Amino acid sequence: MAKQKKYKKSTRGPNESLGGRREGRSLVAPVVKGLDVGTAFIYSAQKAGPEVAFKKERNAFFDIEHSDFTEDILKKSNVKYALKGNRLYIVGEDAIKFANVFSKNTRRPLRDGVISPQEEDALPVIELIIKSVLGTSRSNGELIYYAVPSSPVDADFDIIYHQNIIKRFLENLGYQAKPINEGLSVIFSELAKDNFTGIGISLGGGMANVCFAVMALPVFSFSVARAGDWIDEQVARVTNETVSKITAIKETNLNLNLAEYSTDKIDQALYIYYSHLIGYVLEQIKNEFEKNPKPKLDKPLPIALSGGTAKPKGFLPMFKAELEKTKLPFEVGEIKLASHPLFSVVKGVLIAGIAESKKSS
Amino acid sequence: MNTEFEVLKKIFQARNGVSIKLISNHLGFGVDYIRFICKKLEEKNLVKSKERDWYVIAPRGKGEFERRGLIKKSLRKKGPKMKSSVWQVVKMKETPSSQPSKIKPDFEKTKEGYNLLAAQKLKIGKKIEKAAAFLRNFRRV
Repeated sequence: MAKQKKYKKSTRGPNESLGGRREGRSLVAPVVKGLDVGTAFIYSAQKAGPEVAFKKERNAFFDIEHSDFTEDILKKSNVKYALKGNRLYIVGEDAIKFANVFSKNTRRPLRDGVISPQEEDALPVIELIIKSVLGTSRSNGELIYYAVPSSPVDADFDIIYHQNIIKRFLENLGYQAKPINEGLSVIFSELAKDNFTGIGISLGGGMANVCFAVMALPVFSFSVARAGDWIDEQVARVTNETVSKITAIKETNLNLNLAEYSTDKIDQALYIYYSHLIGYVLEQIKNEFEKNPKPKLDKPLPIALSGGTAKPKGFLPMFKAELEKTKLPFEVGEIKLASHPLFSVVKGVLIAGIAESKKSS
Repeated sequence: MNTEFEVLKKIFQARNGVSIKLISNHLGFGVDYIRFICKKLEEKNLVKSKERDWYVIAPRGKGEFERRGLIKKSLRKKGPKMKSSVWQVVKMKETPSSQPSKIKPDFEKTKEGYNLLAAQKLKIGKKIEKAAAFLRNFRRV
C-alpha cells in the first residue's frame, strides 16, 4: 500500500519563506533603516540586500470636517488620513491636492527645522507620516538612525524637544532609534573619498545645517534658521505673491543661471534672496571657524552641498561665486553638489546605520 | 532586478497565490506600494487577482521567467506535430534573454514616492555599502 503523505495546512509566519523549494530558508535580509524628518519632506531609506529604496512624503497636512461619506471616499482613494475628534487630517502629498481644491494653504507640522510650537496638531500628523514612510519594525528593537539638526546660532530655541519626540515615535513603532547630526550625515554621504573630512552643508526647508568633520569626527556643527522657507517668504513679500506660488516656481522651473538676467520680478527676487542666503551661511561658517580652535590640515577642505534648496540649476556656480566674495579662514578644496540633493541626508544616515549595525554584529 | 520583478517572483514562488501583506513583509515595502505594483502587474496580465489583495501568477507571468531564462521552457508533447516545437525554439532565438525587460521601472511616477529608478537604486546600494565599510574603519580607530 502506497504510503500517503499527509500535508499539513501551512502556518507560515510573515518572515518565513514562500516557495516550497525554499522552505526553511529565510528570504528576509537584515534591514537597516534611516530617517530624515525635514521641514518640507520626510525621507526614509532602507537597505535590503544589494538595493536601497528611498521613500519620501510631504510633511504637510490639511484638515476637513468629518463625515462618514467623506471618510469613505478617503478610504476608497487610498488617501492617508487620521481622525481626531470631529476633524479628518489628510497628510502628505494628498494634503496639497485638497488644499488646492479648497483654495487654502496646507498646515505644516515643522517650522524652522523643528516641531512647530504654533501647530497644536503637529504631533499626531508627524507620527502618521513617519509610520507611512517607515512602516512598523519587523523585529523588536530594529536599528534606525534619524537625522537631527544642530542648535541654531541665530534663533532662540534648541532641538532637545524635537529630538526626543521623534525618538519616542520611532520607539513606539518598535525601533531602536539613534540620532545623528544632519550636517555629519551629508559628510558621510558625499565625502567618503575625502576620508570623511570636510564641510557638509544641508540646505533644507526650515534650516541650513553645517558640520565640519575630520576623519568622520565632528569638530563643530551649527545651523541657521534660514533656508528655503525663508527665501519663499521674503520673495512672496516683495513680489506681493502667495508663498505657495513662490514655492511651486522654486521647486519646478527655477534656473539660477538665467534668473540674474531675467525680466521676471519673481526670478529676480529669487536670485537676490538665494545669493543673500548663501552669503549669510558662508559668513556664519567664517564666524564659527574663528570661534573654534582650528585643526591643522594638510589638504584644502572640500565642501559638500545638499538639500532641496541646493537643487535648482545654477546653484553650484552661484555658491562658488559667493564663496569668492567671502574670505574663509581656510583653503577650500573641491565643492561638490550631491548627486541626489534631496536624498543625501538620509543616505548618510543609512551609511551610519549600516556601519554601526555591522560593527555591533 | 527591479521591485516589480521581485514582487512577481514572490507571487510565482507561492503556487496558490499570495497576499500582498506577506509580500510586503518579505520585501520590506509598504502594503500600499505592493498593492500598486500588483495592480500594475495585473494590468500587464502577468498576475491575476483571485480575491481582494490576493494574487496568483498568470501564464504570461510564467512566460516572463522563461524569457529571462530563470526557468526552463516546457515544451509540450504534441506527438507527431514536432514542427510547432521547432518553431517555438526559433521564436525564442528571436527574443534573446539579453533583451531588456518589458517591465519598466516607473518609480518616478508613483504616489508612494519611490523616486529613483531600479538601476540607480542598485548602484547607490553598492556605494552605500562601500562607504559604510570605509566609515567603520574610521570609527574603529
